[in-house]
Amino acid sequence: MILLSILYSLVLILVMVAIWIYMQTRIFQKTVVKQNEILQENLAFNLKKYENNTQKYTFLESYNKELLKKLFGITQDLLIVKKAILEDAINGFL
Amino acid sequence: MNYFICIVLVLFSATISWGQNRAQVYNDSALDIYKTDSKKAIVILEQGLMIAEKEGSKKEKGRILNSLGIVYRDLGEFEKSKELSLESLKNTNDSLIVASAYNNLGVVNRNLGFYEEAVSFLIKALSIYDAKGMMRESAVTNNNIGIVYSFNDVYDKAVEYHLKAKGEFEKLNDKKGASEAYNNIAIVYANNGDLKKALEYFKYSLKLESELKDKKGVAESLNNIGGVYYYLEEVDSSLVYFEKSAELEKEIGNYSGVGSSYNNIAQVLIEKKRAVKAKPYIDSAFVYAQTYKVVEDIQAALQNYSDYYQANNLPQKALEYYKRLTNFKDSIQNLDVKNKIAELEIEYQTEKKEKEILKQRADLAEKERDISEKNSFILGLVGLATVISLLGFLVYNQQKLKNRQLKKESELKEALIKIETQNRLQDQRLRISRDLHDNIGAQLTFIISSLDNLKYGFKLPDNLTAKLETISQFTTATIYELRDTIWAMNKTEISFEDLQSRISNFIEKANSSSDAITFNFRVDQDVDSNKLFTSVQGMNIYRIIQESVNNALKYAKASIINVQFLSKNHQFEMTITDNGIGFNPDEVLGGNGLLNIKKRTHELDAELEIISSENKGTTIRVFKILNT
Repeated sequence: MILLSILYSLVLILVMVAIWIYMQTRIFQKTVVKQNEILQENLAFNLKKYENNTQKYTFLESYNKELLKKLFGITQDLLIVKKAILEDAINGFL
Repeated sequence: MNYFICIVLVLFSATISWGQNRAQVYNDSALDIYKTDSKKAIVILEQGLMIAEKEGSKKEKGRILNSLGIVYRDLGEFEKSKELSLESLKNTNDSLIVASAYNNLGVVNRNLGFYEEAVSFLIKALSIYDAKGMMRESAVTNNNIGIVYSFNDVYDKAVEYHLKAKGEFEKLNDKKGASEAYNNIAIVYANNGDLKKALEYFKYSLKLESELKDKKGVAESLNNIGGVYYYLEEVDSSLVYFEKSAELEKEIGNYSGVGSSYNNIAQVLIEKKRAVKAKPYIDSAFVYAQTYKVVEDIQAALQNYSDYYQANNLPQKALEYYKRLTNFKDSIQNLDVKNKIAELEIEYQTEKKEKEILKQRADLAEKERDISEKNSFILGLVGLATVISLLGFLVYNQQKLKNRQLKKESELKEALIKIETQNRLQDQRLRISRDLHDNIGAQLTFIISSLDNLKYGFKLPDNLTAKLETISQFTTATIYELRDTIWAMNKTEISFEDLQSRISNFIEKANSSSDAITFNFRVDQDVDSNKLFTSVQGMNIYRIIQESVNNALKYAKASIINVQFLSKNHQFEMTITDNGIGFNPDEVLGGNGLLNIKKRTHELDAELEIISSENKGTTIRVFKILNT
């Protein structure tokens, strides 16, 4: 009888432990899901930023080429004007 | 999970209560048979007591001890009965068992002549039954108290308690109990010498027995009433009741009862000098008594014969029957002894066999108990194994989940670190680009300033002045373009408000050199006004609007320019309309402005539609702009 009582008490205690482990797992699952959500949000934000930056970078690459062309054109024109002024000055001097 | 826990708990409690139930079964079956076979009942109760002691159940031990007390009381062993009930009280606090023990002690003490103790115990039992609302038990106890008072010649109290019992039986609609209570009251009055009252209550009892159609009860009541009439010396009435009683006994086939009633009738007739009529009753009574071997009735009949012949002046006959009576009494005594020996022998043998049977039963019960215990143990082990497996599964599951989550988390973190590094790198590149633009902006401003100084400071030929003006304008346009680009690149996102204010500024500057222009910027209600474009998207949209407005001002000479944003099927649409002179699209398609608009539209992944005809204004529609 005593042995039976001990056996059934043991079963009862183990059942309690099983319930406790089950509850712990559930709590862990919830916490982890929340953490993952935060990480996912962070990642999504950074991906969007990366995409924007890439767009900007591509845009600037082409724009910079265009800008350099323009600067080259301005420089060229300025050199031509300089040359004309110098020629004019030399002709006047001669 | 909950269901499993419930099963385990039920099994656990069922195992604990098993021992108690078995002892109670022994107790109940013994009480069922003790009236008919008290010795067997004792053996069963002793087995039950052993089980209760083995299981350590004090409650069941107390119950069985009290039941043994009741059985011994029934056997007339009052001292033993008293001891057992007192022992029972030491073992249990269960109120019903305690009340039963008190009741038994009350009855035993009454039989032992300890009336004060008897009343004390019975009143204790009564208070428990009353508190528990157990009316039947309360009625029986009231009856017992009444009987104790009756024994002590306290007739008032006796009647009071019997009346209480009667009332309770009536409430329970227990007519048999009420009839017994009436009978008890009648006996109290008869003992007290109040024969009329006694007669009255016997008649109540008779009425109830008649209602119950209990012929045996009716016959006994009639006999009682007949007896009272006999003592009241109302011979005729007495004879009527005795005869009715005899008739009923005959009806139910109780011929020994018939013989007894006939003997009564005969006795009354002889005593009241009507001996002539007595002879047939005595004859019948004698025949019935001999047939059914009722010793008392045989003796009564022989006595009646003797009295009858004496009353009829036949002394020899009277003496003869008197001798027969004496001889019969002697033979009965011998017969009694023989019968008793034979009975004892049978009883001994029966008891021996019963003991053997009971021993076998006890062995069987013991084996059954062992098997049951083993089954419970196996069940417990199976339960334990199941729970351990469940526990293992849960732990494994938990670890698996933890590992999976850790892996997932580390993957996410790794991806995050990579992308953050990339972002930092790009941020750096963009910053360098911004610094470069700032530097170029400053250089261009310096060029413009230098050109202005050159123009106004020196006297140059006209062709050179015109050239310098062209360079200055081109440089200014380049600075504006650069500023717009810096504006767009410095923003993370561009809203409608940003676009509107930037274009308004542009129009204001352009307007200062031409006639007043009406500019309308409208965002449709369907479009989310909080919508944000990426900086590149915003830049391209701005350039398209800028180019269109520039064309409208420069070539179309428009006075009204409308910019409208719509939303269709989750995609944006932008429409720029003016009321200018318009143009023929086939002729001017190769222009720089329109090519720029096409290029920007292509970069937006959108589609372009230009509707224009001479003097009917121009509509530039950019649609299917992706909703980012």
